[in-house]
Formats: sequence, C-alpha cells, structure tokens
Amino acid sequence: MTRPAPLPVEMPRRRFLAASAAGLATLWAGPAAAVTEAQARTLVDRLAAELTRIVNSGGSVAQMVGQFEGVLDRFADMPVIARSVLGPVARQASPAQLNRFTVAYRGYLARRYGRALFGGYDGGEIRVTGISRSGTVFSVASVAQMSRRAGGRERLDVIWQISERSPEPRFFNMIIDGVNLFAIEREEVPALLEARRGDLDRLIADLPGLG
Amino acid sequence: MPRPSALRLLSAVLGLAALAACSPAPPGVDVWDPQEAQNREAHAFNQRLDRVIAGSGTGPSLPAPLTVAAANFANNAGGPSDTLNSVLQGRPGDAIGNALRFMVNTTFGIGGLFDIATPLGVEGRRTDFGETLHVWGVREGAYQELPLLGPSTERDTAGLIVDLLFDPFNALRPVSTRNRLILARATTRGIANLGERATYAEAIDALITASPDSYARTRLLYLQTRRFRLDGEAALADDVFDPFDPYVD
Repeated sequence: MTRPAPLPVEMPRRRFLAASAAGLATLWAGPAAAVTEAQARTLVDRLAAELTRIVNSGGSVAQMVGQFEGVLDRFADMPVIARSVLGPVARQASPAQLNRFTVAYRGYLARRYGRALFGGYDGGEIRVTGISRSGTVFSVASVAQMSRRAGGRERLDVIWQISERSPEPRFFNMIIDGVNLFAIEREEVPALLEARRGDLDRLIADLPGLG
Repeated sequence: MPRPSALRLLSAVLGLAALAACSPAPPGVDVWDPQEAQNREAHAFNQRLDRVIAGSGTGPSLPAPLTVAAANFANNAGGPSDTLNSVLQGRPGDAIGNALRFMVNTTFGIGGLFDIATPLGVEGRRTDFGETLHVWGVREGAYQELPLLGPSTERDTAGLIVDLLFDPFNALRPVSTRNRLILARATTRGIANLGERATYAEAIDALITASPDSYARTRLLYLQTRRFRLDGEAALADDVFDPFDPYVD
C-alpha cells in the first residue's frame, strides 16, 4: 500500500491540498476494505442466477462448459487465481506469458469444474443461503437443488469465496460439497509444471488438452 | 436367543476398542495415510473393476426409472438404521424426519420403491455409525481404501461394521424374511450405485481420471467431502487462504 511521503515544510498550500487528495484517492483505491459484505452477496446472487440459467438451458455438457468459461471471465478473479496457483513461478514469468497462461488456464478450469458441476444434471436451481467471514475472506454459501439426468434430485452445497482485499467484487474460490477448487489447484498446477521441468510455455501449450 | 446378540455386542465393543487404539494423525497433518502401499493396491483393483463396470462411459446404461426405484428402495431400507443413528447422535429432529420418511415411503411409496416423502416436504438425513462415532468424539484415524467398498477411514470402516451388525432389520423374524430383505437391499444398492456412477461419470472423469495421480486425488476428494459432510463449513475453516494477502505466496 502506498503512503503519502512526509510533506516538505515549505510546500505551498495548493500543492499540499492536491497531494492530500491524491494520497486519499490512493488510500480509497488501495486494497484495504475494497469489497463489502453486501457486494459479495450481490455478486453471488447474480452468479447463482446465471448458473441456474445455464443448467436449465437444455444445452449439451460441452455448451454448458463453454458458458461456464464466460462466467469465470465475468465473475472470477482469473488473473489472481492464475498467479496464485503458479506460486513463485509467477514472479519470473513475463506479463505476456502470464496473460496467455490465464486464458489457457481459464478454459482448463471451466472444463474441469464445469463438467463436475453440470455433467450429471439437466436442471436445477441455485440460491444463496448465507454469508460468513473468516479474516479477510467472505464465504457465501449457496445450495443447488439439481435434477439428475439419470432421474431423481440432489442437493449440492456450493461455497464461493471472495476476498475483501480484491479491488472489485469477484470470487477466487468455489467449494462444491467440500471439494475445494483452490486448494486442489494449488497442489495440481505445480505438479503439472514439475512434470514439464518448470517450463511454463510448455504447460500453456498443453493446457487445452488437459482437464 | 440371547447368545448371538451378546456375541455381536462383544465383537462390536472389541472393534471399538481396537479403533480407540488405532493410529491418531499427528497434529497439523491433513492426510494421514500410513497404510498407503496397501491402499494403493486396493485402489488399483478398484480402478480395474470400475473400468469393467463403467467401461468407457459410452456403453448402454440402465434405464433411469430402474436406478431411481432401486435407489429409493435401498435408501428407504436404510431408514431404521438412519433413525437409530440420529438418536445416538442426539439429533431428535433428524430422527423424527427419518422415521416419518420410512413410514410414509414404506406404506404409500409401496415398500419404498417411490419417494413420496420428499415432495411432501418430509426431510430426513441419511447417516451412518461412522458419523455417530464422530459425534461421540472418535477421531478419523488413518485413511483407507477398501477393495470393492472404496475410500474410507479407520473410523468409517468401524462404523460400517457396526451398522451391519446392529441394523434394526436384524431383529426381523422369521429369519428367512429378514434374509430376503437384506438381500433385496444389497441388490438394489448395487443397481443404485451403477446409476450413481453414470450420474457422476463426467465429474469422476474430470476430477479423478484426468489427474496425474488418481489415488492421491481420490483420497483428497473423499476426505474433503466426508469432513464437509460431518462438520459443514467448520471443516473448511483451516483451509481459508486469501490470495490477496501480500505476505503469502
């Protein structure tokens, strides 16, 4: 976080005011307390409506996965997720490399978790049931009442996590019936990298065939 | 006939004693798997079996009405056991719900083939003795993968054995009726599991088969879902991680 530098004694009043305003603006735009509880909840309300629309669209699993990638693009904090699953490798990567990884990785996540989320179902409704907070992280709980392709109904508990430090309301994690996407991916992606001797470009090239 | 039940009680108590003596996880360890070599053998066997049963996922599948009716029957036949466990867990709401569901579905649902209770809003909670042990404060113990039965923990395996020995259906007489009912439940459970396998085919393929180490992935998914089932959101508390935290990487 940037803090205003100590003021020189002879600073003219006008410049002082301008500097204070700039300092304040930096503080407001900074990472502290950027997302409120209400914003986190609104985000997941919209997200739940969007997912409900997708699962009832009558499309194939592949179509739903495609729409889910759009959801990740609009509702998830993809650059932060991508950087975080890469770990220390992200710091050595160029911005262009990171961008390419983020896009390829978004498709991989959509295929993987989109299939898990929509694969067995042909209808349903997802609703927000509550919100809790742990440190800087909001956990928004939702319940998905899904109807199975093979008949019968089923309940899934899906939790969405949003950091209050995020510059805008976007989620960084989803937990389906306890299956923690972010925890899994932070183990899996380094393993995928290691299998390619840490070559990020090779991983980016391989990602479209994975997941 | 006091003898068999006394024997059952004794063996269950011995089972619990063995459980209490079994390997507690070192503190702070998320996955405790001292029998990994054995478990991996069972996993390889289960994977081969799964490939035989599920094939490539493109073969003919069982008709949905059959798997749904089988699942309804098997779930309903577990009602008395669910009710007993809810009582043992000190959850009267669940116990009443499970008992009501059993009565409604056994009568109006024609022996449990149809689930009438759910649309009527009568909710229960399927449970097992593994959960009862958890409520009583027994620790999870080591992870296990059992041949045929799949992933478990020492606590859940002990629970499974107690559930079999103490099923309220065991008290049914004549014995021939009891045996037929238990056979019917096992058969319908098997058919229902095939239906479940089909429902989760996409999820299993995406999350397990496509993973570089399907054993480790199965273990992680089982422990995560089981702990979430038993503890709800509290199970996730230790895993909360903020990617925006400037001090972690």
